[in-house]
Amino acid sequence: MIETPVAPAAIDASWTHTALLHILGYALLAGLMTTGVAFVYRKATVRPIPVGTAVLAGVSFPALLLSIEWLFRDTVILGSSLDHYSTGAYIVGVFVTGTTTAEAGRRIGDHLACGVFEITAVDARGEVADLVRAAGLSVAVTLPETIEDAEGYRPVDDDVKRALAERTLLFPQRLSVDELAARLRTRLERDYGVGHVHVDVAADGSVERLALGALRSGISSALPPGRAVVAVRGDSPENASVGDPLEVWRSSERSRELVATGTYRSSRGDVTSILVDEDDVDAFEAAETYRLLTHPDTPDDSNELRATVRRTAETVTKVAVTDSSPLEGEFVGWIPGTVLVVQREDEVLALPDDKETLAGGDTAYVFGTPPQLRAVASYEPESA
Amino acid sequence: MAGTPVEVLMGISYGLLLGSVTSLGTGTLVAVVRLYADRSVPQSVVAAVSLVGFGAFGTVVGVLDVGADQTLSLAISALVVLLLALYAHSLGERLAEAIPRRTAQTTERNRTLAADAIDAIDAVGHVTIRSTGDVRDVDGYPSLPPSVRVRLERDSWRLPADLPLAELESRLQARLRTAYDLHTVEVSIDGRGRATIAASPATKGVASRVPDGWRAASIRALLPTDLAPGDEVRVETDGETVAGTVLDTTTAAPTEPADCGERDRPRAPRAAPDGGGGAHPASSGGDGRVTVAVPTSDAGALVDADRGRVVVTPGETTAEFDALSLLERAGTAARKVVVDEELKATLTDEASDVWLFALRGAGERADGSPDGWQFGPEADAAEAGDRAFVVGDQHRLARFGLDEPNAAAAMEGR
Repeated sequence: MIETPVAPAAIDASWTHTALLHILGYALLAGLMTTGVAFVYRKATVRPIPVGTAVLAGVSFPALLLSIEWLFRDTVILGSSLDHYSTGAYIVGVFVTGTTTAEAGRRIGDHLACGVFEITAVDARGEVADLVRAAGLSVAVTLPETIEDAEGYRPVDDDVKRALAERTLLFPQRLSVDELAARLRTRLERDYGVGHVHVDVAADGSVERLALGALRSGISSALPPGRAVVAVRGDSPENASVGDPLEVWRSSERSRELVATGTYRSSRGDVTSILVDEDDVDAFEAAETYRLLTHPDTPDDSNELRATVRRTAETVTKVAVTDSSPLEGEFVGWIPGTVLVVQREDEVLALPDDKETLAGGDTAYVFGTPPQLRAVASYEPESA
Repeated sequence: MAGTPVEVLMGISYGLLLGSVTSLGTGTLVAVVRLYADRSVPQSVVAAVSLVGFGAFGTVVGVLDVGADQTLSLAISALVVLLLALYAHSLGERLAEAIPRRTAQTTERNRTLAADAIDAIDAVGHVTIRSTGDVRDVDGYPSLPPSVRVRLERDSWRLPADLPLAELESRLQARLRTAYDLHTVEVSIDGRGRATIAASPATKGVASRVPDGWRAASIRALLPTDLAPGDEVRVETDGETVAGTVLDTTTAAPTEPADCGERDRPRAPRAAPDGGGGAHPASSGGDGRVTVAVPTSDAGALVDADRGRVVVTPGETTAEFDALSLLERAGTAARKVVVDEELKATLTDEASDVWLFALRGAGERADGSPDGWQFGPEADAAEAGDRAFVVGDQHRLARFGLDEPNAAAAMEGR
């Protein structure tokens, strides 16, 4: 037990000399350890170590040594008692110089690591700089060997599948499974021109299943059966939009006559593209100019319904009912899924009653989930 | 001997010494707990542990046994220890977040964009990459047509900024190949986000798309807007009608390639979302030339004629499209509505022609469907306020309109 502080024999030049030497030694130790810590941090995370962490880590080594010396020798330096101001000054000296050298060591360690591991040091601050730094460490995701075709879509070209099979793509490190799937989807759609991507990502980040579908472009893929699109010279009404029903009139000095009715698609200048029945196409003359009138119609959200159906797993399948198929004579209500339309020779039965029976020669459009549609397909003796 | 300044000195020195050691310990503890147990050690626990450590060490060493005249230095050192411990707590948390987690996949360390590129990064985190100016040809391959070269030199492409340079290069390569229909592309991107591009065009572009036994011929005609390669058409010339597939279109009054791509093309192929039109942009309509692939026997009609008329016929469609179109022609329409009492009564009425196709709860999302839509629900499952698609006779449905304009509903319907 210490009652009064005991001064060392003399706080003279030699004490000071030893103290300064020790301070220097400890400070260099702090700097060295900080260099190491910063180096390892940069290597592991590709980011610069925060100043606080580095300095505290570096300075704690001399502190540890001092504490051990304090514990076992009951003095920190040269017999100065622990209460004496010389001890206090010495410790503070160690810390102050240690902090300085630690900061220097941090910069050195960081710089060395960037050089050795070819890490680009981004010196800016802010979120955007963080984003760029995040690029330094990426995770490699390998696509599966076989790429499937998405159900309900046209298959993509073989060369796209060949380019993507077993390809390794890099993504930033800290993405959740959902984020990874979304980024993969966007990437395939934008870079490879794929229309529809369905991807299953496992919890550990590997891709289990990839199915692709091609995008439809052009007019033919959006034409219902029995209809056609022609371009005619004629001003369309202002603000006409897709789906507006049009009447096409031929006007001359003597008479006006209705040529055909159709639906507006688009226009450019004085050329309008309209959707008409195939049988009406011949009524148009190539060189004539027509007048186009809009007539009223009820609003319709079929496009949105189609878009919603497209986003979900449910889809429509077309089933041809032959005389010998097991579907012949079945009630509509018994078929898995929902029967939307039955095309029977010239007749179209929309949303048929549950008690309606399917006859041979019918074409049924059935809506449901893939398992339901598979159940419909396996009604038939041989699978298509 | 000990005055207040000396006490402060002693207090701070003890505090620093003991504080560094304890904060090293507590900081490591916090980081380890965060990394492996994914839990956060509360700050109060850290403070308590550090003070206990300080007290224990002090007692062992003998510092704490001194009398009242040492209280100031003890108080100061306790304060310093506490501050350092709390600081170490936050450092430990940040350290745990920064350390990359172990995953089953390999991680790679790569070169990234430099600080200079930060100006080119927008708010969404995408960097705009431009060509350095000269687009070179690839040795041994045919050279690029001037129009494509100009487009490559002027266009810019947006890619996520959190990818390494190697990956940006490979993504840009794939995108250029798809969007500009190139055969070989070599790209190298520097730290500032500028790309040096060498490319060669696709060879035999038209010929490779012509089936065996067919020929491709061009003819002038009035073209519908959005006529794109792959469309099935009937070309009517004086007397003869031939059926074929569109390979390419050009309009008579070409505007600048980049503008034409963006403005006049409402439904562009998604292969070219940014900069430059797609490899085969859809026709913008009007007078122009169309290249059609027809059976060889019919090619003569196209060769003889000067002008023709182009009629686009249906091609391959999906079953769902056909089904909905047939419904439409039969006078059945689909409407997106908000369910109210009147509608609910109509739906549950067996005799009415109105049928509930899909339902989406007004509150939480229904299970199953990713968008919250449930297909084929029971008619009485609809509650007032739910959104629903109803299908039925178009005139009956005209009464059940949506209150909001369609655009707002479409945005919400995602």
